[in-house]
Amino acid sequence: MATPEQPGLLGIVPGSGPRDGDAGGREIPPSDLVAGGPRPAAALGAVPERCCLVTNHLNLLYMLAAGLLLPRSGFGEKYYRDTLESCPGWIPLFTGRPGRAAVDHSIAEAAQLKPCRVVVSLRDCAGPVMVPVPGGVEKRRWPHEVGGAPLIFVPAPLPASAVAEIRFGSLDDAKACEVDALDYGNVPLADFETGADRKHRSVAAGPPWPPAHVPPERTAPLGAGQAAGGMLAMLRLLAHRDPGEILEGGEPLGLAVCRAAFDPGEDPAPGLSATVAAGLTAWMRTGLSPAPPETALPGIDGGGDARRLFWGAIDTLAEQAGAAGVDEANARLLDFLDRASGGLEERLRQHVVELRETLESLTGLADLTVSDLFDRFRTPFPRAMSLLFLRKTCADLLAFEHEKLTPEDRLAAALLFGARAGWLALPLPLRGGKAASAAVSHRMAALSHRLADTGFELGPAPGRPKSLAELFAGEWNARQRKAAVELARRQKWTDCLQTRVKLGAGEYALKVTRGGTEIVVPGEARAVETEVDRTRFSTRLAETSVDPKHETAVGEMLAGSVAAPPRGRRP
Amino acid sequence: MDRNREREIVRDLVARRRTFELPGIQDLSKEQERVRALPAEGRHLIVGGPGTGKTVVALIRTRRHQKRKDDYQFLVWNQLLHRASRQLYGDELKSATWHGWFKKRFREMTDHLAPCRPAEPSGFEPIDWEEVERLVASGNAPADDAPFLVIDEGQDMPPHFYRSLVALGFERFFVAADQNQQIHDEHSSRSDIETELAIDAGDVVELTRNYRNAGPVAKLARAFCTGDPASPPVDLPSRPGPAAWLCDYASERFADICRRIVKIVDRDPARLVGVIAPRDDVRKRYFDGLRAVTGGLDNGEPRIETFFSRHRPDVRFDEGGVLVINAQACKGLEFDVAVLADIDRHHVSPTDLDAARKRFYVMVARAREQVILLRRRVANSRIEEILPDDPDVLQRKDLV
Repeated sequence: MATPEQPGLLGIVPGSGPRDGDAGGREIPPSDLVAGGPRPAAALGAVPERCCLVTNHLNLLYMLAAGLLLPRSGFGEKYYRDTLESCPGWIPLFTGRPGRAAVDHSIAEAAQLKPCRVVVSLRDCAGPVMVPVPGGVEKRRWPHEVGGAPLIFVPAPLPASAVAEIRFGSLDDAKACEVDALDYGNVPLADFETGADRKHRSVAAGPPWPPAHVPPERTAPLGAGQAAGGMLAMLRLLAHRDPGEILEGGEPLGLAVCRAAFDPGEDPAPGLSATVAAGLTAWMRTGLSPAPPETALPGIDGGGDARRLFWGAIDTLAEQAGAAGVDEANARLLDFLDRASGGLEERLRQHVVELRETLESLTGLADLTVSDLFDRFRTPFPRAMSLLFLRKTCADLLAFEHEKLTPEDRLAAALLFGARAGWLALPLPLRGGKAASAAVSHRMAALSHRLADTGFELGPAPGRPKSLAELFAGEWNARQRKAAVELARRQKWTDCLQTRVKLGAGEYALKVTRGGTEIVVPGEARAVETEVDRTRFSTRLAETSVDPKHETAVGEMLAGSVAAPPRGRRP
Repeated sequence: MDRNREREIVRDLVARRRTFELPGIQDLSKEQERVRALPAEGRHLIVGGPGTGKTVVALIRTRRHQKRKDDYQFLVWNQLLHRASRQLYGDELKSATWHGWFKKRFREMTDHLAPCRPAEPSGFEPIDWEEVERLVASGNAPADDAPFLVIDEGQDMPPHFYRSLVALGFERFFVAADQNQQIHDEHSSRSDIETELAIDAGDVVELTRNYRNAGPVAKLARAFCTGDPASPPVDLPSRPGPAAWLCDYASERFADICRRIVKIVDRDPARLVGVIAPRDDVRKRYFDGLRAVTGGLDNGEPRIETFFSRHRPDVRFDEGGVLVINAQACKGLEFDVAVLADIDRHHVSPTDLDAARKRFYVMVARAREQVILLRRRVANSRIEEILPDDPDVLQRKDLV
């Protein structure tokens, strides 16, 4: 086995290979989709840090929406044949030039498909992959044992954040893909660097397709990752919009839960274990509901059985997160309640049966209002379940208000809604921009690998994106003030803005015209400053959905300038 | 205004809002993707049953025209659909009713008023197509700046309409049609449209899967389907949903029924419930009954509106509420829940049961999630003759 200090297979020194894609959106001479990309690693004797997946533009857009480079099984019925077809459960990556056959295979199914090459950076990854060897495939460790292999099979999925760039066969194809992406509400193509290669060679090059030998089929668990993505997104929004009650230790519930979900390896805030979120860190680590001892407390009214039911419901939703529609997911939950009620003590069983009957009756001519429901059910689990049956989307939940809804009810509902939608079904405005998407995407993929025990490491996860509430917490410095003005301008929160004009001593003429009013000042105004009314700004932040592009821009303006609030302090 | 009150109003509006939202990529099927990929130029006919997503792909196409700043026109059958499309999509949608638009366009292009036949009792003036064709044939060369036309429910427009448009120089058509959804006489069959627009039968794109209706709704609709072979049979959706109900009620329960209908909207103010009446007196009775529901609601009195011939209030489709309409006006509309009111009052001809079935097919298919049939407890009604017996298709319920 090769070590980092030693040449790998075929005498290749790891990390010394060429990098592809440095040309950004420019045209790269003289390559094209087939012949372009990383130069043959074998010829140079190196392990490339960038490899490419050959696919078609509709599969590409689907994967970007899912936040993951998916195996064949991740597309459901919306799969168009491409190179993924040949190796279920794996992602075939060319380390050098992809062959014409692979490209042709990826667009053969439908006339509208455009070929594309997804350039992936595996710089931080390490772990077992499969590589073709004479007469078969063999398990090797990435990166040190695969030098020279023209093709590697990486266990799926990979995070979309690993995509370094996307190359099309022509500018027309790139443009057509951009137009297509705008037809969907959940495809963040604009977050990725795209470009076109100069010309389309007809000469076949690269390895043949399909390959003579492929790894054995494997099952890639994707539902839990998708559910985790949906939950992370909802928790980020909740921390941003509705900090909730203050926990023991002083941290707001929303922020504490968001932090625990993004970084489940860290110690959760004190007080979190007394809420429905107990078990969240365990779930985020393993993708499965925590074992009973972690949550077991008697009684449905806030006790451990209710929490176990809650996480059982999350597990049920996670099985098909993003892949099943709302109605299918709800039907599965009713089945889950049927099953779960069987093993409960009588009083609790009656509660669960009542909940199930109520949920089923909510369609049609039920003689019930939401207030009636909240009077009937006084704890987070049944209330959150009721909301799940009354509202379709995560956006619906965020817009929902009721005087009897507690922060913990809302938290429980946010987790259920996020798990049901998965990351895939979230529209772009709820995803929080490029940095947040990258952070979630990495965690979704990492969770899938942990669940499947692939041993494939994706490297350090991008840090939890700070919510806007955190970014604008505490005393503002000059950059925060500037960023607040910028955000208010971009969001057109004109009621938050005011302009201060400092004038020197003297007499001024005030002219009122049809178009407005002007002040004529002798000399120059000393300063014109736009300011933010902080109270109104905070209200807007808490109540309005911020365009993810604006959130990203403001996040970049404030990158590194805002210290994380000390643990246990309300931002 | 008090700031808290202002917030409440905004929240309330958000909670009630219903708008056209771009689908997620996972929401469009491969056959819908094929339609989406059709070139902007040319003549395209999309055929599919109710709920197959014809209007969705038509709106996506329209949005593309809008983004490219193309000259385009979205044409619909009637005022109600025009209003619904504009409200759901946004005021920027260049939408019009086909009849009014044609008359206006004809005048602009030929300097003649569109010839019409004598007004019908309703006041509607049908276009005299033979005279239109004569005038077009004797007129100037066709215009070469004709806009892109996106036509929804294209089966409802007569063949003469398409023939005249072609003669006037229109070249770029995107027509979405369903052979099984005609509820008036002057319509076009699939082959009529193919012929008039010179579209090869092999180029017609068929949408075969129902995405709108929950399974039980689609199952009931299919029970009323008279099966015109020109539209491909729609696969039954696997999406689960609440069963279709038939509720018989005694007259003293009418107020209770109305209260329960209102509570559907109270539980989710963004929901749109369509109460579809067989006759105008039934429409009025339900409208009054629903408006009389007060108290015991979380969100105050919901929006309850009605629409009938020659009465066109500002009916809103971009907010939840209850819309009470006559059966003739329901075509092309979509409700979360469709309540078919007093079905015993529908005329069922013993010699033409299919006519009633067709009407029920259209009404039932309006529902996305659930359909509820209400029937008064009366002795004399032929309606039972067309209702399915299978409890898997239609459950007979007593209200508790």
